[in-house]
Amino acid sequence: MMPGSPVDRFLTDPSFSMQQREALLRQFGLDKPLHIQFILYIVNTLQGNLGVSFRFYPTPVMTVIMYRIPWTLYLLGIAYSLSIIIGVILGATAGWRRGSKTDTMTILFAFVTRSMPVFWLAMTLLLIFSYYLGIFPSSGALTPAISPDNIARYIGDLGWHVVLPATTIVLILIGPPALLTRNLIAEVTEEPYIYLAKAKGLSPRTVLFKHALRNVMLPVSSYSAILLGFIVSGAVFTETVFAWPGVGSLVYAAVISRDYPLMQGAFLITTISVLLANFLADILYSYLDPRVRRQ
Amino acid sequence: MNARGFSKILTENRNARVGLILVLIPIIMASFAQWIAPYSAHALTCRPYEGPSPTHLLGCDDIGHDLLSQLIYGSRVPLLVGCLSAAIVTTLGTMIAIYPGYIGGLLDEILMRLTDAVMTVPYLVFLIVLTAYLGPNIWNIIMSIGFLGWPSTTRIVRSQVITLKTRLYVEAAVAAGAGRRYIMFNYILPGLLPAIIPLAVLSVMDGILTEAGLSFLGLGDSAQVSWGMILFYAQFRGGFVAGAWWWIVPPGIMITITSLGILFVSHALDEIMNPSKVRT
Repeated sequence: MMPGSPVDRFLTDPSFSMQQREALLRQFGLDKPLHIQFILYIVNTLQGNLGVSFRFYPTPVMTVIMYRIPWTLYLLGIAYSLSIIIGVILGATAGWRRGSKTDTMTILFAFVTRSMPVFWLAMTLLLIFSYYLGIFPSSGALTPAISPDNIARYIGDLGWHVVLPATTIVLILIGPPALLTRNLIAEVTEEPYIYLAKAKGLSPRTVLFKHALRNVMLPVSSYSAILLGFIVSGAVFTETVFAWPGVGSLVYAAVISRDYPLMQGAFLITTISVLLANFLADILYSYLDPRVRRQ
Repeated sequence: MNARGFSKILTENRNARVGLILVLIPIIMASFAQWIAPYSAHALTCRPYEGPSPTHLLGCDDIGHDLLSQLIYGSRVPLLVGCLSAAIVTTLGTMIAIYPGYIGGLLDEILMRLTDAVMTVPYLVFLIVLTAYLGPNIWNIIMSIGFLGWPSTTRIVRSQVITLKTRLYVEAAVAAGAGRRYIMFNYILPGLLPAIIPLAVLSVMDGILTEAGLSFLGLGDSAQVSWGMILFYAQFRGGFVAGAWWWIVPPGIMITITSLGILFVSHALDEIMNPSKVRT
């Protein structure tokens, strides 16, 4: 992003007269002093008016973002649930047999994915599976011009496009819940109720998933809520690399085209979404753990 | 403990050895870039999209930069940003934890709510907006990471401050008439170091990953090469169209090696400094 007024960026054509330039500035309210602009922004925002996007002019920021939200929810919904499920199962298996090969590999996997830039993982997957092997599409969420009439093909196309972006986020997001579950399971393996369950002759699988795992699900689920905050950065990078038409790639588009209203709008919406998600997680938590409700 | 004794303990730890070897690679690259790099970072020395060859081991980008040289020079910005931003994060995080955590009261309440507020905002998006407004400059990036990254340090350090201030040796100092500031810096702070040092090392890793991310989004300092920026150009200037794996794969491997090394070192320091912590 280069400094300078957005008007300079768009009015590169010298044939624009001074009057036209000023008219544009006035139209966006950019001629007023900064503090007035700020007050106007607050008042408008409270009324649900996020202003007009410079880049997608004359579409209002709100409309641009609303159109993109379902795509982000679709991608993140799949990626988030898959990574929690896989992470918990992987972590439980590792913690159950501490020191085993599975355990060491799980820890190493979590460490390596923690140190890997998300966007680079996305680029590498894209290079291998799209450029070299040609199995998956390289960008977007739908083949352009595909008609929703043929419903099976339409859904298939949707599913085909989501594989690589979702895989990227899942790979990055498996580590933290896996490590947490592993440590918690490793702590309960010596508990009396585990011995009892084993003594009853239950299979190791039943003991692990029905007895041990159940007892560590509370901290795991509250931690999963924290992961919702993490997923935002994953979304920005992954969507940008795969040109996914979601809110994450919108942040990038806004930065590149110096679209300040869009940037602020996207910032506001992501913050509200994360807060809302955390709030919902808190409510769900009180159902999971009745002790929270009583206090 | 003296430095020699500490380095002995450190090298006896397997995680620390692995980590130090990994971290040494980018450090050597950054320190001796002039001597190791075959060309200068900005010299146009070959044909666009030229693949790896004996004269250009990692090939070239779209305008003819030698990518090996860019990779070597590109280690400097991440290391600099990582270390300086970690210094700010750690200092700020500790200061905000130690004063109010020890004294308590209204200031503590206000700062804790501020910590919560900064923590709930999606870090990366906040950072993107902030650097976009401040302008793409390496110092702005360092400052932005520093001023947004401290809350996680504060959280952890503050809980330590609260347990430490009830310890007998601190109470003894209070009884002996030591002043608040004296107690904070001579009694509380040294006790916090085992918690702070591994965290500070981890902040270096976060700084490096964040810098890479910002540069990848085109918010990096265009006057200096960095791994993230090489990837930015690869993504948006046709690295894929050319199928140029030599452009896309190496910078990411370098970022991963560096972060992984730091992660191992941080883990090892935590093991060494907090031996009583329950670890399974």
